[in-house]
Amino acid sequence: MNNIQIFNIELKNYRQYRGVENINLETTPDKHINVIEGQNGSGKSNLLNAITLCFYDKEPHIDNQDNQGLGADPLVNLNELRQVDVGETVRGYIEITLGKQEPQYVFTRKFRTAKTDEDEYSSITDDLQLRQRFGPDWQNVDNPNIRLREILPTHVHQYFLFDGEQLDQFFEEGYIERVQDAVLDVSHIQLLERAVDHLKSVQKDLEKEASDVEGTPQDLHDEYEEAQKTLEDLEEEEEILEDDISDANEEIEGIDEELSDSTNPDVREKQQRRRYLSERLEDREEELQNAREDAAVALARAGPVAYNKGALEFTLDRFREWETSGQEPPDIPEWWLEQLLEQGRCICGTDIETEQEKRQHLEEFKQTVAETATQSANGKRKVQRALERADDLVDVAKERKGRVEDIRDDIDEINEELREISAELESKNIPDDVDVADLEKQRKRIDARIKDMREELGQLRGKIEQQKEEVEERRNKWKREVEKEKKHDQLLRKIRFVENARDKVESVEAKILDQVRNETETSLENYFNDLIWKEESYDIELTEDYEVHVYGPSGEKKLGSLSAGERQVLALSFMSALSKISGFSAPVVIDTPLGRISSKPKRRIAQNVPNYLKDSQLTFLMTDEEYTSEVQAFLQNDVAHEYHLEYTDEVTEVKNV
Amino acid sequence: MKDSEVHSLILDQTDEIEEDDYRSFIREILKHERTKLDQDRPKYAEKYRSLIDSYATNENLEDYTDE
Repeated sequence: MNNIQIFNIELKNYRQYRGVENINLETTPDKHINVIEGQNGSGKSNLLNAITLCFYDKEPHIDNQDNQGLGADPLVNLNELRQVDVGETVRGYIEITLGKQEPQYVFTRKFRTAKTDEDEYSSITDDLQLRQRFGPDWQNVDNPNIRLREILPTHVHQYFLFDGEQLDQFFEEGYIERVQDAVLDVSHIQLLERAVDHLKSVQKDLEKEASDVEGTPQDLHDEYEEAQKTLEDLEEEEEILEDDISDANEEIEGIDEELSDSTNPDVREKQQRRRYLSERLEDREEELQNAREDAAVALARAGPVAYNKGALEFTLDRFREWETSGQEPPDIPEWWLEQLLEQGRCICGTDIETEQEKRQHLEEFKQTVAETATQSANGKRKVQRALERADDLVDVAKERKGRVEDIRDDIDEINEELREISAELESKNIPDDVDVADLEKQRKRIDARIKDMREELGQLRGKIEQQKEEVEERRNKWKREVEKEKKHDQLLRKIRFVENARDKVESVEAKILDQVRNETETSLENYFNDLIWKEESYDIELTEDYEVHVYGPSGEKKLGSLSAGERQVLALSFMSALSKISGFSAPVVIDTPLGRISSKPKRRIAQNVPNYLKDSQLTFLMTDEEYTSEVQAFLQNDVAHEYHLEYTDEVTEVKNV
Repeated sequence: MKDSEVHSLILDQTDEIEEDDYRSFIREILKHERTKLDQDRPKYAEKYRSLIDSYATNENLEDYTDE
């Protein structure tokens, strides 16, 4: 057998099973059916409960004969409990051996019931245990539930281990929802629905993020370009102005040449002197610039010390006062204290070898004195050095300031002399010579214009520097926006990816729903026709809304008009279809499979049962009314094991038939 | 089938998705959801974002940018 089967169930003291009961259920492909027969209340449902208790720690199957329900009874056999005193405990277990061709897993759940008072009990179950075969060896497995989930998980076990009699209610009012839930359950549609919901939610988050980083790079680029254009205009103006200045200088040079060609020696001499002074002025102006920079540096160095000189002097006085008054820690050499510690005797005569506390004090004192003395000496030295340096720094600053003033005075003198030369030349009237006065007037006018233009150029260059900063700032702003835009683009791509992925998952979901519905419909129809006792063939439709329609030769048979037996066969077929679609190859155990079916159809169903779920191990828990001699005759060739549950004096014994 | 696996019906359908990135991405998120199926409100955002970062790269989305 390729599907998982139950090889063995062993019960000890479980409910009406007293002592150890061992039920061999091993089947083969030829004989894939087991029958366990017993009258109502003999313990058939509890065999199903034993399986679910062992695997899932649950007992959902209530015996119709037991009106009080399982909760009223202890887990351990009552007769065993009656043998013990109040306060004592009786133990039991359920052990199920599973495998394909040979035993592979042994699942065990132990339980115990304590007798808390006469007729009062308290039961508890232990954790599931598993021994697994690895080659010839059996080993305990740490996580039995994980292995069990691989064989028959909790959520699908109801389609493998079920009570046939209760199935009758499956197709009663409100069945559509039950059918839909079951189909969605076995096909894991929830998985796809969750994926779609989560993709939607992630998409929403991405969209919010994208709106946060949505930039306006084009606007900012326009602003950047505008600033760049202004800069270019200013630089163009600068170039024109520089050309104008250059032209004006050339004009002056032309005038100077004419003046140098004057026949008058005084004019030539003045012109020469002016040339010399102009060159000197240029040099001195450069020197003034450098001297100003040096003076600024010297002032920056001297300033803090000079402004705080009073405070530093006050601090130094305080140091001296402390030193004089003995408030400053004495400059006790560290080596001297070391020596005292080594000798083991303090200067006051205390034996610090025997008095550890005193020794510790001396050690701490050594540490404190050393640190404070060092800090105090360092502090005093630093203040003293700062004060000494203050005077030097102030002297340097004064000296540099003086140099600036000297150069400025020199420049003033040069300018004054140049003005004088100009005035003298302007007043010259020399016959038969160049018109010196007119030339000088022209020169003066041009020189004034050059000065204006230089001033204008200076202002223009200032504007250009500011504009360059503006351009840089706008460029950086634009680039940051571009980065934001890139991030925005990436987020948009992700959003599109999530959107497309969601469409695809939704499409998969729609296809699977359709496929599962079709497969359920096909399996349901096949199983129904395999089991139903009628000669004619039935068509079964499972609509998109999960309604079930049964069509016989004379048309549709309303579900409400189906007999109890037909409804049970329909439910049995539905369970089988679901077990097939679930993808798990587990054994099927059905309690009271033919309970609702009257004798004639029962015989016909029995005739068809051997072909039903042929690849699975089938274990039927049947009443004596179900397992009639006729049913027995139809099944006999396919039955591997047949047991009879004999119930006497509240104890069930499993008898091999 | 193991309970820890995504149902073969779903895997068969996702296998039919032609684009490698989408197919792998969807399989990964389904695998993640499968491990959390028994939880009522499983955490997902971090896992999803990390998978989106891995699969929704610029290169493999070129074809979709003009959609």
